[in-house]
Order: sequence, then structure tokens, then C-alpha cells
Amino acid sequence: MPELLISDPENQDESTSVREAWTQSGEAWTQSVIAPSITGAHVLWSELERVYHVNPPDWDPISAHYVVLFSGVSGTGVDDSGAKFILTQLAGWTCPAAMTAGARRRADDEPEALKRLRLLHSGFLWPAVGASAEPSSPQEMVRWLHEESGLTWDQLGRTLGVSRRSVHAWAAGQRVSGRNLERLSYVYSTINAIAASSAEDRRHTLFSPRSDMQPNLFDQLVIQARKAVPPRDENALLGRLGIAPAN
Amino acid sequence: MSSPQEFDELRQGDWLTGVPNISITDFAGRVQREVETPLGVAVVTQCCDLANEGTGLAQFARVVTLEGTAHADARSGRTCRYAPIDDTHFADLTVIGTVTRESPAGRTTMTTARRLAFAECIKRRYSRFAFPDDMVKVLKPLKDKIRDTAAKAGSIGTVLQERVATMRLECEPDWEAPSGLSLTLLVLVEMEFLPSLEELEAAEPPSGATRQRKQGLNGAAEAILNCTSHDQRLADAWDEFGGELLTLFERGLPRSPEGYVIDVQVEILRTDELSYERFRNTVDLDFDYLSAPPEE
Repeated sequence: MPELLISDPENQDESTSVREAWTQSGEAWTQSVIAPSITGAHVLWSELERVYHVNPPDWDPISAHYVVLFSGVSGTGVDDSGAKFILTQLAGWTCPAAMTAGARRRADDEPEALKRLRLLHSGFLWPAVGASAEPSSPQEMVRWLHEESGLTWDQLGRTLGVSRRSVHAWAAGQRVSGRNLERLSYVYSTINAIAASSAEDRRHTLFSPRSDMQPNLFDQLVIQARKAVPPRDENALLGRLGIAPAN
Repeated sequence: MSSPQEFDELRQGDWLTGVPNISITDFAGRVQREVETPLGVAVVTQCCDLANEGTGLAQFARVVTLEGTAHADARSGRTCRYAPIDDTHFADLTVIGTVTRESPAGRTTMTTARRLAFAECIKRRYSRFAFPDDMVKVLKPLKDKIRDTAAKAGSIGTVLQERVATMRLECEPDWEAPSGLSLTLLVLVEMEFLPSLEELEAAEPPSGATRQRKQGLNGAAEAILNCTSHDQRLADAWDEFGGELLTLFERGLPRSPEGYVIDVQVEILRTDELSYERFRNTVDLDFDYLSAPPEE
């Protein structure tokens, strides 16, 4: 079983055994582990089991640590590219991974710390697998968006940068991968975070004009979903209209 | 042929006979040599330019006849060197010059449809997007398969010629990015051969056993051709076709530098489902003209 590592918040390169860290921290850790603010991140990657947000009260809040628990990974620790990828790309977080663990199944020699982690994520801090109301797959994420965002297939497609047919296909179970999965997660997280109790309310929030002359939330998502424009003559239209600036 | 009035009557695609040669100039604009044009010339300059500019100058291409493979390639669009005038005559767009002698003896005009095809060939030759060399490497397996089958009478060729309107390529984050590119191949299907989403939602779910997948691109093409237009089963058949194209697309990834393209996708959609925003962010994929990068 890979060793569990945890980083020092002040010096992430100096990792120590989670067994040691856990023993030293004791109950204080249990009290300070909270569910991540961005939900649903764990469904993005099949190997990822749980993501925790660890922020002991005596730490600088900016230095918040995240605990990433995933399986099937040969390398663990703060430098693990998989954990960093999740935190910096998929979930949009900028904090480094504080700890990674590499075991899906329990083992006889499982460190006590991991057992406690399991207790945490299967208990009061995070709903147990199967009992969660959160989507457990991209398909469920798309279905949630269609049912709860108040957006049509076409509008969802625009926020995701794909055709409505693709969104429809994802909802039917077609594989979602790569950049599309990243964007789906981002759109899901954004809309899921809207403080609203119904699809109608979310739709209203998405399309409500902003007072600061910024695009509304829907337009922001559409703008972010835009793909690169191929290089072309930017003055072509002006030229066709006869108003191109003189060189 | 220097009268502006005569130019006014000309239109792009007109075939002028009795013009024995056209002049080829050097960089300084001096006539370097004259190319014989026994079959005449075709007008390349757009007609409004002829009328509005009043320069008395216009571009003409040598008219030629083609045989064998060259004829077949020109007819199928495999090459855009030759813009079609009629079934046997073509304007050779590599030999373009200015007529400096007497007025033409005869003038043959085109139908609108032929004129559009002629203009499309000129546009294709001079305005197509130049893909980065490494991207061409990634596209090679897909290009080879498409090129090898598109002009043939088989199932894949029939699907590509009669069911697919065009293919476009989308790229993020940037077409010039040195690495980390994500490419999406958009396959635009003629409307009658792909049910709308509304139609699919309104229809009863298909009954019976699901068709066995993984029959290759040819099998997927046959599944499409086995359906008549507006057949509900076309949705599944196109999904399979897109999956096979994706396999070909993925096969090209190792050909480019590691990390250059990290993700490829294929999207099948109807021609009425492509937004203008997406149209402007994509480029036509001209499989006949993905120039092979220099050998390393």
C-alpha cells in the first residue's frame, strides 16, 4: 500500500507520514476537516474517491489544504500530478494537494490514519457512497443540469461549447472526456453553487442583468466556453464595408 | 482587349476563345513570357472588380482539357488546381496572366451553378486555412482514410459524398499553441439524414436488440446507408460512424510531438445545428489539401 503523505502548510515540499501527522494532530484534525466547497469534484475522475478541505482554525485561511483521496495511483504526495491536476484544473482550485492516498480497498495493514479518513468520509462529513445526492457520473451531472438549471439543451450546449446534440448524448450515457469533462464540471459547479431552490430561480439568476455592467452569469459561461478563433484578417468586415482604417 | 466596356460584360468563369496566349510577368511586372492558350482563357477576376475598378486589367487562366487520373481528380475535387468550366474543360489556376492582345473571338458563359462551383474552386485554392505542420501529422490517418474512400463508390464514399455536408475542425486553447491542444472534428450531416433531437425525443424508444457495434468505419457507413432519410435508427448509426472516425483521429496522436495534442473529439451534428459563433471558431477541413509537412 502506498504511504500516505501530508504536507506542511508552510512548506509543502516537506511531507511527513500522514500516520505521524494524524497522531500528532489528534482530534483537532477531526474537528477541522470539512467538506469541500466545490461539490461534485469527486465524480470527475473515476479513480478519485474523495476530496476534503482541511483548514485548521489556527492556519492562515489562504493556506487552506485539500485532502485528495484516490486510488490506483503509483505515486503519492504533494507532487502527484493527478492530485494537482484535479485541484488546479478540474475543480479550479489553486491550492496544492496536501495529501494523497492510494488505496481504494481496505487492507489489513491499512494505516490508522486512513481508517480514520474512511470513517470521516463515510460518516458525518461526507455522505456515504450511494447515499449522496450529488451526481456520481458525468451523465448524472448533465441530467441534473438539464433538470435543475432551468436551461434548455441548446442553452446548455452553449455554456459547454458543444452542440445540444452532444449534451443530449452525454445525458444518455455517451462518454465525456478531456476538455469537455473539465468544462462540464465547471458549469455544473457554477450552477450548482447558485443559492436557489428551483430550476426557475436558477434560470432567473443565470440571466439576471448585473449592475456592474458585466455580462450576466449565462453569458459569462458562454464566453468561457468559446473555442479559439482561427487566425484571420480582423479587418475583413471593415474592409468589405469600406471603412477599414488606412495604413 | 483593353476596353473597359468590354470588361464590363465579362463575368468570372466566362470562357473566352480566340485568345492565343496570356502573359506571365516577373516580380517587376514586366512580361517575362507568353503562354499559348489554344483553347482560350477563363475569367478569374470577379465581375464587379472588372466593372468598378476601370483599370482595363483583368486576370485570366489558361483553359485546358484533362484526361485519365488528372480528369478524375479535378472532377472529384481532389485537386483544386483546375476549376471546372464544363465536363471536359478546366481553367488551370497555375497559369494566370493578363491578356494583352486583341479582343476574344468568342465568349461562353456559365450557368449560375457552374459559376458557383468555379468560384468555390478559386476560393479553395487561395483562401484555405493553413494548418500547423504538427496538426497535419495528427490528421494524417483520418485524412488518408477519407481521401482513399471519399471518391470511391463504396459505402464510406457514398456517405461522405451524399450524407455529409462538410467537416470542420475546432481547436482550443489556441491554433498556434505549442502544446496542450484539444481538437474537435465536427461532422456536419445533411438534415434529412439525421433526426432532430425533438424528433428523437418524441419517438418511441427503439425496440429489439441493439445492433452490434465495432464493425469499422465501413460497417458504420453501411448502417447509415441501410436507413432511409428521416429514419430514427440513423442517430445510432451516426454515433457509430463518429466513434470510428474518433478511432482514426486518435491514431494520429502519436505522430505529433508528445503533448502537442492532448485530446481529440468527434461531434456529429446536423447542418442546422451549427451556430454562427461555432462556425467562425472552426475551419473547413480540406482533406485533399492538408499539405504534407517537410520530412524531418
